[in-house]
Amino acid sequence: MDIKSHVKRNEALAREELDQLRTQADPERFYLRLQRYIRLRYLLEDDPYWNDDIAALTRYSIRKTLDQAGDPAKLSDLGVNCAGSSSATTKHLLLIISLRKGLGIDLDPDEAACAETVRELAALLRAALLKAHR
Amino acid sequence: MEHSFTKGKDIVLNVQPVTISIYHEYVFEGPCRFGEGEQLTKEYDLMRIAMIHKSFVDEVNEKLGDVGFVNILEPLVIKRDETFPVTDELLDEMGKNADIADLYLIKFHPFGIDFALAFAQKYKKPLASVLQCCNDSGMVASLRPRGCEAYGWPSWEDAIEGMKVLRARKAIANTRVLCVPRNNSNNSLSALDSFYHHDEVTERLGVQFRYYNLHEFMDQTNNVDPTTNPTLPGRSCDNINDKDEAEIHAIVDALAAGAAECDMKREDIFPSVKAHYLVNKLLNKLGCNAFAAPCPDMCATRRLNEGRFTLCLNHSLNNENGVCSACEYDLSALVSMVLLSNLSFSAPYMGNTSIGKVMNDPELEVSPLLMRNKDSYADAADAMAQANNIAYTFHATPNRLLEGFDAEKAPYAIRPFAMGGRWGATIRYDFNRDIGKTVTMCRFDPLCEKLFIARGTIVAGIGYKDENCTEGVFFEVADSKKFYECSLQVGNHIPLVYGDVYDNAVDLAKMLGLEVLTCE
Repeated sequence: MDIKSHVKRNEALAREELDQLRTQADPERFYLRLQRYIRLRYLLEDDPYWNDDIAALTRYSIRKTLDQAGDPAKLSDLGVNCAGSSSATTKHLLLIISLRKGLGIDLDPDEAACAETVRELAALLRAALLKAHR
Repeated sequence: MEHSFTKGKDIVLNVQPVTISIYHEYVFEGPCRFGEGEQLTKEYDLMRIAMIHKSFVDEVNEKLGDVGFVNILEPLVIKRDETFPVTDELLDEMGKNADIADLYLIKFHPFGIDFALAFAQKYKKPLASVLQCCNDSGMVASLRPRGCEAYGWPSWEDAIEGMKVLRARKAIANTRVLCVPRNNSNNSLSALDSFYHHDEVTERLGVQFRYYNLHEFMDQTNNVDPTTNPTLPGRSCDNINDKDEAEIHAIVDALAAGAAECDMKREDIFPSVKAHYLVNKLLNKLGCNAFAAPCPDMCATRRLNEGRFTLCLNHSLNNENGVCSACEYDLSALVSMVLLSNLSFSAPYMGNTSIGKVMNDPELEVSPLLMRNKDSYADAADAMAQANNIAYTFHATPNRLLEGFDAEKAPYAIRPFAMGGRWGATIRYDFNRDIGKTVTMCRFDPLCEKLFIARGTIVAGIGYKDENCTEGVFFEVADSKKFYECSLQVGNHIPLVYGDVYDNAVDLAKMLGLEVLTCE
C-alpha cells in the first residue's frame, strides 16, 4: 500500500475510533481508544513503539514517515508559516484540532496545547465530552 | 540585633516574563502569512501561542529559577489579533504588576515590538529580550533612541549578568543612609572630595540621606534615663539600656572568643560594640540601611575619648551585616561600597588609597603611617620587590566576610585604635592570606558624574600585627600612573571588594549615565 492509500485507510479507521470514544465512559478504555486513534493518525498502528509524551511521539511519527518516503530533503523541520512552527508542532496541533472537531466538543486552547501526555489529553477530552453531553 | 529594614544584598530583581503574541481572526494568506488548512485558523494560532508561552515560561524557570537575586513574577501573555491593536486595556494587562516589576522579559510571537514600545513609553520600565533572532536588535534599537530602557542579551548567562547589574542599581536606589554629621552635613572636613550636593546624588542614583545630630547620637550611647539627655531634655530617646547591654556583652564575648589574638580587655571592647549597637537601633528606627559618620569631626569634640570608642569596629561589623558603613563621612566612598558590594555579594573595605610603585620603580613609596612598624613595612616591601604598578588601601576597618556574605568568617585579631588608652576596638585582618586574589575597586567623583573603576591583584598585606589605622592591602593594577590620575578626579578613599566585578561595574556605571574612568 502506498502512503496515500495508507493515510486514506487510516483516516477512515480513525473516524470509527472517534465514534467509540464518544461513548466510552471508562477512563482507561477511553485512554486506550485514544492511543489507537493517534496510532492511526500517525501511521503507527503496526509499530510497537509508544511514547505517552505527545511531542516525542509526534517527532517519531514524522521521522518514520519521512524515512518511508525516502526523501532526506524533506527532513527539514521548519513549518512554512511566519511563526516558524516546526513540523512536529504543526502535526501535534492538527491532531488536537482533528479530535476537537471529530468529537464535536469545545477545548480551551491553552489547556489543550499544554497537555503534554496522551493521558493528560485523554482527561481533557473526557471532561469536554461530559460537558457537551450534560 | 534583628533588622527591620531591607538590606541591599537582600533586594531581589522582580522579573516579569511576558509573551506578546499575535493570532489571526480570519483564514487568509499574504506576505507574512502562509500555510494551509487548519494551520491558518484562529484555533491553531491560539494553541500555538499557548505552546510558545509555556515553552518560554519553562525556559525562564529553568534558567532563572535558581538565581537567588531574581524573583520571577507570574508570567503574562498578551494576545492581539492580526490588526496589531495597541490599546490601554492591553497595555494595562501587561502592566498589571508594574508596581513591583523591575524588568520585563519579553518573548515575541512573532511580532510585537510596536506593543513593547508603547508599553515602555507608558510604564517607563526596562524591557529585555534573550536572543530571539531579529527581535532583540529590532526592539532595543526601537526603544533606546526614544528614551526607553531596553536590553538584548545573547545568552542566558549574559542575561543573568545583566540582571545582576540591574539588581545592583535597584539596591543603590533603595539605599537610605543614616548620616551623623557634626558641623557640616554635606562633608566632613577630612573628606571634602566626597559628594557635596546630596540632592544631585538622590536625583541620579535614588540614594537618600537622613541626617542625625552627632551630639544626640553621643548622648544616647549612655545607659541613663532616656529622658535626661542634655541635647534632648525631656524627650524619651533610644539610649542604650540594661537589656541592650546584655546583648552587647554577648557580642563582645563572641568577638573576643572568636579572635585568633585579642589584645584588648573586654571592658575596652565594650564601648565600641555599644556604639555599633546604638547605630543599629537608629538604623532600625529611621529605616536606614547604610551608615556614615565623620571620625575627625567627632574626634575633635573629645567625646569619643570620653566614651572610649571609635567607629572602626562598627564599620567592620556593619559591612559584614550587609549594611555599608563608611569612615570619615565619605558618602562617595559609601555609595561606591554599596555599588561594589551589591555586585560581588561580599562585604566591602575602604581606606586611604594611593599608589606605591609605578612601572620599573625600584622603591616602594607609602604613607608614613604604614612605615611606623619597621618590620611590617619591611615584610611588605620585600614581598613587592619585583612587582610593578602597586596601589594600596589602608584603614582599620577590614572585615571577616571579604570573600562573600555566605562565606565562613575569616580568622581575625582584635587590637586597639587608641594605643595609649588601649580603646577603640578594630578588626585586624591579615591580607597576606589573600596574595594572588583579585579585587575590584571603584569611586564616584564628588559631582556624581564619573565612576573610576579598577581591578587589581593582591600582592601583600600590612598591619595585621599592628594597632591604630595601619592595616591595609597592596595590589597590582594595570597602570598605577593612570590609577593615580583617575584618583585625582574622584578622590582618596577608593573602596574595594574581593572578586572580579569590573565588567559589571562598568555596565552599571553606563546604565547610570556615568562617565567611566579606568586605568586599564
